[in-house]
Amino acid sequence: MEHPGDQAPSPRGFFRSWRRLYAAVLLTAFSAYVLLFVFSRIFAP
Amino acid sequence: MQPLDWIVVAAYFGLIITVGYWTGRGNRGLEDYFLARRSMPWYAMGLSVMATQASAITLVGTTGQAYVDGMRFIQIYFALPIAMVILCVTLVPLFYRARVFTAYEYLEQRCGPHTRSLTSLLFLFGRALSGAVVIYAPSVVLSVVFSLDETLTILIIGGFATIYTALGGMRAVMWVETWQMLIILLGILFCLGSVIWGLPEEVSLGEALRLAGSTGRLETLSFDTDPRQTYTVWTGLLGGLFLMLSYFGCDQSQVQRYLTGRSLRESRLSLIFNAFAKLPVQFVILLTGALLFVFYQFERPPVLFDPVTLAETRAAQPEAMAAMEARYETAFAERRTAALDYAEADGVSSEAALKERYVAADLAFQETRAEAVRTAAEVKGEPWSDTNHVFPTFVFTQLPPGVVGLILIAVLAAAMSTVESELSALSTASVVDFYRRFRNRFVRGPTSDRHDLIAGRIGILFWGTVATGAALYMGRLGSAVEAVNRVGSFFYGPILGAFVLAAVFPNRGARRAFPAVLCGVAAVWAADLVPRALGIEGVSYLYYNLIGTAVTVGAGLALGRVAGGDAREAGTR
Repeated sequence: MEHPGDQAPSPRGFFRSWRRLYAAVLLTAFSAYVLLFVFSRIFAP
Repeated sequence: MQPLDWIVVAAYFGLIITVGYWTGRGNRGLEDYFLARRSMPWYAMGLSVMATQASAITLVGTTGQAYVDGMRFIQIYFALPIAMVILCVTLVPLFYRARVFTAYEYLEQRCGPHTRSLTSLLFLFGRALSGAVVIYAPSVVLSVVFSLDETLTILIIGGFATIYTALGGMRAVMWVETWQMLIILLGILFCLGSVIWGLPEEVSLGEALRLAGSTGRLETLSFDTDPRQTYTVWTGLLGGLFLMLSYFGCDQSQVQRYLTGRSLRESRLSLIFNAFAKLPVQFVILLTGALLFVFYQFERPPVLFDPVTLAETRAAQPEAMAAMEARYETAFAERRTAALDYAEADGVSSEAALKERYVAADLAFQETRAEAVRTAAEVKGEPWSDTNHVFPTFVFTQLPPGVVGLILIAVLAAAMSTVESELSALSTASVVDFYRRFRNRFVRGPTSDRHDLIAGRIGILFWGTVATGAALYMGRLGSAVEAVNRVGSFFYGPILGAFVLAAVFPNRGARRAFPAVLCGVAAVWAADLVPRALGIEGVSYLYYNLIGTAVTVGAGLALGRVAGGDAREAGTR
């Protein structure tokens, strides 16, 4: 049985393609690592 | 526990029973019972995926770990967002289009029936053990609260989760898990708020963070390249990536969550939701533990957080414990004064000296406590730590009525959501991967949906009994957090290797996946056992997944090449 999501599974809104959404995930993850590094350096010098 | 707490607990059970009954009606076949009619929206799957991973260990063990050791544990989750993207691109569409019930069913199409049976069997073995651990962990909390026997609490939690899961089916379990995860998130925020609220008036949040930081509790990143270290950026990114890929991509308890999606889009979004949310949630839980450490700078903590062991140790060695507790009292008073002086010294010239004094006082205090823990271990005659008792002690001695109930139900929800997922996954794998394939040998005539449904329920009851029984022996495993990850790590890597062979090398190595998986398991066991036998420290257990995957894929390709050569030779004769 075919589902609508099989053929046109793009996310809506700003993330018009899966590629953009994946890029946003990876960018957010990288930002989180940087923020944790800054947090570490501020409070645990 | 005050009447208000009991009302909160009763409301929780009322909520999950209502949601479970309302959403779990009308199961007619295995697709209804195990895959919720493939009708779930992304947010329910996303929260359910998160609830499955967030066991009671997450709340109880992780906060305790941050209290004792700091926030380094967060590095294990660094690769989770990367793993989610990889899975969304690779395995999720493959599973979805294959319309399978279990991840291992997919392997049959590419690698043959034996590989499916082997990987499913490894999953069943590994998960039956970890199901036991996730039943055991909350019993620690409840035995502290009610001074109940741990055996009794294990039987209550395991028994309730088993019966509930057997009756409701997947749709009920997932909607209940959605609510349970919301309760867990609320509980986590209340925990953090309560710890901050409990700090003395003269200590601001910034000063509290400075105190935690000066003793290394806020060290979140380590760039140590030693592969024997578990909590480093490199181990987290490399070893953690393979752990996350294996867990979310090949472990039926997680795969089953997103197989229930009403479309591929919904299934993918549920994983993306976790990619965004997991690190912040884990950060808040660990920060709670680190701030708990600061809280106990000003409020004297018990010399041992487990009251039962404390009483036993005092009874066995009264004079030694009395002397130790007197030293402990003095060390606490000195540390408290030093902490206050340092907290108020922000920016003054003597700050460095005050920090040094505070760190030295903390070290002296920790040494006294470590001495008490060693004495308790000697009395018990086995390795022992009270890490898992830190958080429950805070909750039940410091928090007001109502909040205690809320955090108790958050711990219960975390425990039950993981147990429910484990049991439904174990039952699905046993019924779909084994019973349905081989039942013709045992059952005469055609079987109906009703027959399958009964088999599914019996599967849940069976695995619930196994996990509860094994939980009774889990108390000696040490830190529950390490234990869950460790047991799973032995089989995760080789199973992931089989999926890599199936998806990436369908024509070269997939048909040799069965012996390749056995090679992978042997390699992981060797990586664990050989260093122990030689008396040296081996690589971190997080690398076991990488080793298992690499050896399985390598062996599969090598065996495939040999078989290919044989076939060509046979063809030329």
